[in-house]
Amino acid sequence: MSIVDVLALYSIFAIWGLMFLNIMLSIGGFLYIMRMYRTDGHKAIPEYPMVTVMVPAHNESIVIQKTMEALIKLDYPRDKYEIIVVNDNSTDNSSEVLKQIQHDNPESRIIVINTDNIVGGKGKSNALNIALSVASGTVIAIYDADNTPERQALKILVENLMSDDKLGAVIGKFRTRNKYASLLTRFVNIETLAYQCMNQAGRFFFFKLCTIPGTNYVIRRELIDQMGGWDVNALAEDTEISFRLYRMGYYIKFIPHAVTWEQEPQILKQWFKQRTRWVKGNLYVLKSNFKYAFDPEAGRMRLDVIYYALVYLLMFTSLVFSDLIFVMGILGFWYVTLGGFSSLLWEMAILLFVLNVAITLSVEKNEFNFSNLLLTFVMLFTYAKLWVLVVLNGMIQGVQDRLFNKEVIWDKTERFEEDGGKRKEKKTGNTKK
Amino acid sequence: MNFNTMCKRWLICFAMYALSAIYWQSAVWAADHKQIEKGDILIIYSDGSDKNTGKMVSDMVEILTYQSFKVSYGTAAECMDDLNKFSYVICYDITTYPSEFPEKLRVYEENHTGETKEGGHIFFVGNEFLKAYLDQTGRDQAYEYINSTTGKIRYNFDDLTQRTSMAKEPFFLFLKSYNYKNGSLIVSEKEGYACAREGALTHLPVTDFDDPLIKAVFIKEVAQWKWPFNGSPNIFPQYIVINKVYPYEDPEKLMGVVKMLVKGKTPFVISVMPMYVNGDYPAMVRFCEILRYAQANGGAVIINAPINQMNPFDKNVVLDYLAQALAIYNKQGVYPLALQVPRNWLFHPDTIEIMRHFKTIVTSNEEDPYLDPSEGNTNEVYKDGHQWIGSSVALDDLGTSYVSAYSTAVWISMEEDPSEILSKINACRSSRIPLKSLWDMEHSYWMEKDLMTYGNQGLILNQKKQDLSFLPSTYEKNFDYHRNMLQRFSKDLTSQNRLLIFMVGITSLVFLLFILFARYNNRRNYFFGSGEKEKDQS
Repeated sequence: MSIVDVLALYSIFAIWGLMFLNIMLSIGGFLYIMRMYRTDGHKAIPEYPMVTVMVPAHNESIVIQKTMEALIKLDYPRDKYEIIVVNDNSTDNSSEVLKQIQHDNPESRIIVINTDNIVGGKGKSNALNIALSVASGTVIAIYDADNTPERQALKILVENLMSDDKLGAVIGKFRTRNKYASLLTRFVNIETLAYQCMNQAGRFFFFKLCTIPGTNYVIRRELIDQMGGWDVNALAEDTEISFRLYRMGYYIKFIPHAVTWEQEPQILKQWFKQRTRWVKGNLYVLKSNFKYAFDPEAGRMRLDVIYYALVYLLMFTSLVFSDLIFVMGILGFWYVTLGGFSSLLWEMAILLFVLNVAITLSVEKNEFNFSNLLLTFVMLFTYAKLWVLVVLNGMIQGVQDRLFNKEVIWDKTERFEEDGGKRKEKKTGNTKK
Repeated sequence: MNFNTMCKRWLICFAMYALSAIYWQSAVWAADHKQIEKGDILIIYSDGSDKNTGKMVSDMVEILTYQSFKVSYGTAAECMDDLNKFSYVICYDITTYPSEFPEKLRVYEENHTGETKEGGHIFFVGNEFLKAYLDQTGRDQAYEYINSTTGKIRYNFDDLTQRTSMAKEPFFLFLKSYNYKNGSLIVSEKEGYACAREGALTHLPVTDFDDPLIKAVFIKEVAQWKWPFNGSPNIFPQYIVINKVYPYEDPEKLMGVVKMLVKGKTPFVISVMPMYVNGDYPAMVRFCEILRYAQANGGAVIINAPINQMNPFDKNVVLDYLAQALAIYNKQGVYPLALQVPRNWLFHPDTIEIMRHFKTIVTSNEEDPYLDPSEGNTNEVYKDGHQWIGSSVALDDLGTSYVSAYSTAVWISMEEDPSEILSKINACRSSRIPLKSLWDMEHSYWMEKDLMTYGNQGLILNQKKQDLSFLPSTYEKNFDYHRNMLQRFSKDLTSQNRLLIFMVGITSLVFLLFILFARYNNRRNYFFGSGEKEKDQS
């Protein structure tokens, strides 16, 4: 048995193992979402708490108007929520736009904090910590500056949070606002739906585990205070805070009724940058928390650490090996001599992948159609392969940062204007973190 | 040193330089100018011809090799000074040639009138050069020119078997008078011949040997043309060959085919793929049991050459593998009599050397893609005096041979349906070309440590006569495969494939039900649901 055979065997077992895991999660996610959709997501509570909606914004003048309009229109008692926008060291006209919004909406409590490059400009976690210092709510809600939540979103999230003391945070669903902008955003749309059904709903159904997605979530103020705010060293502050909540004994709930619409990267370069940042952030969190995988006191968080390790290490390596075997096989350099190593295995894996994603699309309105099924098939050979490069790039950059003690940079995602299909790109500088 | 001495030394130096320059020039010229080796037949093709012509020439050389002719080949420029070394010349579709070539060919024709069969002959394949040649030799009235590019060729292989095909050429030309003709070629409603001979000239107006009928016509006509005696050439037999049989294929299906052949007392050959390891595995034991049964009942076994995946080719490695494979089969009482090779093995020095170890060579229709194209200009392999069995030229779906100019193999694949296999066997049985058993010929091979000879119904391997009667195998009840952990995984994977397909089927079904349920739910909520939900804002 040659080394190629060993790699092939490893890839088969890893890919099929993860496939099995994802199938189980999809089934769980499907059952959970269908169960949830029998209700409208609301829960009766005696009193609505004071909520601080925090919006970190760095050079977001293109999208912030729309976001603020949606936040102001939220169906939540007007005197029970405030909006804090941290205009974080912006160099565009965000402050003027925000000032005008404040002026036009005197009845809403809108606080705008303009920071300079000394206090601000150090990334999302730092901006959230600044907002936290002036927040008056007992519940904190986070929305990214490119989000337009649906009217009921905040109310549903808060009602669910307040109805269970063991809940540390409640997260909603995010959808792609600009899914028709490019082929890339169509892929991202499918990816986000599949991710939320499989990973969020599925994990919550089986293990009461969810990962905070960075936007469209509410969290108890007291817990944030106990944690000492957001970790400014974490690029994936959402994953990091999720792990900390688990360790504190709380769980996070996913409510698919609370929907926000967000703008996704429309061009590959921007997508690549954003996803590399996520990978680096998640690897940082994985590295910091890996010790808990073997700590019986870490409870269900251990499962999440193992899950992340599986996704990043097992899936990444098996995809790299299987692609290498495929390419080298075509070039005539490598040969697999394993019995039973037939193309049928790959064909069945492809079938299951497409069906798996199809399930997640079927629970959404207007998403289960031939075009999306075809795109799912295509993305397996295109978009999914790009993820391998993203992970590779993230790993290399992570090692470089470590070796050369580089300052961690928050590479902010560029925003685009969405008027009549035309796209205006807004270039922004990097902020240090 | 006086002036005189100095001048002498300069002169000597200059003379030496001039001599060495002349020597090197002649050496370079000799290297550029390929020597045409004397032989039976010379094939001449166009100067600067393309890959396709090279392929057609290789086809002709292959066919003539099977008929045991020594063949040389080259472009018109390379060959025109060597015409007299040959009694037979084939001019294949020549379009580009030196201006003096037709004159040299005319001199050759004059010296060989074609009145006796032993005399020299020129075989024109194609029309353009024949036209130019006849024009240049003052015979422009001797042919009929037809300005049409397509024709219908019809040829009789025996009284009962007629085959037709379409032919495409830049134009057609027919000799007006001839003392021999065969077949017909209809062009623009004018019926000409498929092949004709007039004096020393023979003409085949079609050139595309990729068309099986044209190839078969060439084989038949060239055999006739070269036959030095009156009457028809010798008839060579055909062999039914069950091709490329692997030990892991369905043994019962193989046994079924073997029994079908044995029952009809039809001689046959099983061409097995080489195995290098695990010769004692139960699957291999069972496979060899069937082969032994076949051996004892009129079937012979031949071995395929190892599949070449080397670049560059290493003949010693291939020979080692071949020796291993033969040893594995011999250990199980199976004695391959001949070697089966891809057809382009005939043209490579290394593969020729491997074939030299075997007396009988069977060539398949396949080509070894890793082998470099031949740079030679003669069929080197001819010298080794092999017994050749070439592929039959399939003129119908059954693949039966219609030409008897050399021994041919009719291929049967184990992937075919039993009914198709039976049809092929029946077609071979009823063919006018006789079926023959490999056991009726002498065979031999030698490897580094092994020597096999077969003759007079006795097979000697390493000086020991082998028993060819059938003895059933004995099987170990619990065979130990000595698998390590990874091999066990691999084996499990193989055995779990069916289970996996079943599981995937069930999962897919569950998923489809889920999807249907979700769609139904969504529709119901859409039509009868209340309250606002999501709005597609995009």
